[in-house]
Amino acid sequence: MTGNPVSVPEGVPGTAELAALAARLGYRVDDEVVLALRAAVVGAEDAVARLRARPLPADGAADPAHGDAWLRR
Amino acid sequence: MSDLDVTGLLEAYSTGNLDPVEAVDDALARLAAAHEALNCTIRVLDDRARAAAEESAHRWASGTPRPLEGVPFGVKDVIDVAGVPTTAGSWCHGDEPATASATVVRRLEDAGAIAVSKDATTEFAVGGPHPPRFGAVRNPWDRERWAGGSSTGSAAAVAARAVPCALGTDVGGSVRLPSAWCGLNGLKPTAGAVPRTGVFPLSWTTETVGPIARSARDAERLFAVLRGPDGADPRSGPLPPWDVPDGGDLIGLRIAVPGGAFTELCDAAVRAGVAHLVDVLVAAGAEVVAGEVPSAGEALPIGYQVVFTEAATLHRVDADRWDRYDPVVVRRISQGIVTPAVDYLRALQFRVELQRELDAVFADADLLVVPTCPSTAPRLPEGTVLVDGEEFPLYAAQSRSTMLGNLTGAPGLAVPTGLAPDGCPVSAQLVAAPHREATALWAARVFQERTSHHLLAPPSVL
Repeated sequence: MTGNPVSVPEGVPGTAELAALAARLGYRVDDEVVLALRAAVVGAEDAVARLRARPLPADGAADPAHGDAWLRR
Repeated sequence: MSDLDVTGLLEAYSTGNLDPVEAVDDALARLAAAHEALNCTIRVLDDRARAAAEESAHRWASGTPRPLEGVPFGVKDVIDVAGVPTTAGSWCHGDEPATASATVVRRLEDAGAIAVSKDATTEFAVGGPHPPRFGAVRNPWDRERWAGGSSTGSAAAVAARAVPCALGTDVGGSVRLPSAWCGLNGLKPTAGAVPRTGVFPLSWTTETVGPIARSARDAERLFAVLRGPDGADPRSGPLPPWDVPDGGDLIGLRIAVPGGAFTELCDAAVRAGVAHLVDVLVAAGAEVVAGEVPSAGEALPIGYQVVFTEAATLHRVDADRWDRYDPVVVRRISQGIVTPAVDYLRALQFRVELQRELDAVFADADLLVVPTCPSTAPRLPEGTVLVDGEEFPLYAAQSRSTMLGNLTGAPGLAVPTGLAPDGCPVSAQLVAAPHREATALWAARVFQERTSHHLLAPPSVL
């Protein structure tokens, strides 16, 4: 649950940093939740990193409003 | 009368073989028995329902029935019913009665249907199988298994033949998954097709309200009443006309059967069910065409990122009460607290990319046929699932084929395709282009005219 240092993707913030961020944003989360939160962030990191690295198609997909417009056509 | 679906019930009323007072009394008695066995009900609306049944009986007697006159239905307890508390399955909500019914409840009631129960939900429609306030809902097909979620009590009550239909909500599969695991038909409509006014929110981008029913013809009947803007939900706008083909064949229908992420983790019995559905559709005249969704495998993790970020935003107002939440809720939505804005917005851009991948498929196909979920119902207490004999955690498996519809907004219909060797239902999903629910409902109705899987009832409750 705390994450194996070997398997944690580079750059994922540590528990102290995540706890401080949560507190600044108005959430009171205890140590157990912070550990779970970080484990979830670590678990999702590969998929999120792939998305960050994925180039946006050059066809106007940049504005998320297209996502809502798709549902109204 | 428990074997009657909505359509059958209305036929029985119209011929005078049954009246709504009898049907509602029967539903209330069956709900009590189902709750005793399965823990599926949070509140029974008996006085309210009996009064409405009297009114319905008068309407049938006077020749003025409305489209769903006298049909009992269950309501997932994240959806408001006027005068009744909405608990959202939580210790932290439900102290006061709702001041008005949700649009979806009002529409069904205006059409003559009768709300008889507030059904169990996982906490806030995002918690685990064991909500601390109300506990797990058992599956009528096997009480050692979970009914699925988050519309857990709604599916269990319909499968147990206590009510012919119910309302659920779907953020990552929460109508379709319990429908699949309980042998039912569950429709997640196009995002925005059904107003969410009066529904406890979880994720504005992905959330929809949808019907759970025993047959595709019932889902069609219910959706026809539920759809359309209400002037209050900003995501609900004008819709194209509603027109479901009534033919008994599927000539001209083109179906794509994608593999990849949809089938790479999927039990053989589920895959056999998908193949069986395809075979029947083809025998009815449908044509199989090529079609893949290359990025479908990313829909689950990125969809969860959107859901949990929006959920964390919505639940910040209760951040000082998270210690009273289901720990699973906290574990799941807390990750959304720390999602960077650029990642959330990149996820919404990815939504557009996925929609364009669907456009490419729907240029040549009318429907995608995919598994609804990889396995039969999860085992209690852990909630794990078995895929070809290998055990997987619930959240690694359950929404692999459903989240695509939530993230893009495309509609999906879960259709029962038979029983696995373990005796539990398997399901396939018909995914359509936006506002083409009619195509999925048409194909499912023709399938059910040629097969009897949707008529199978669990052995433990009848």
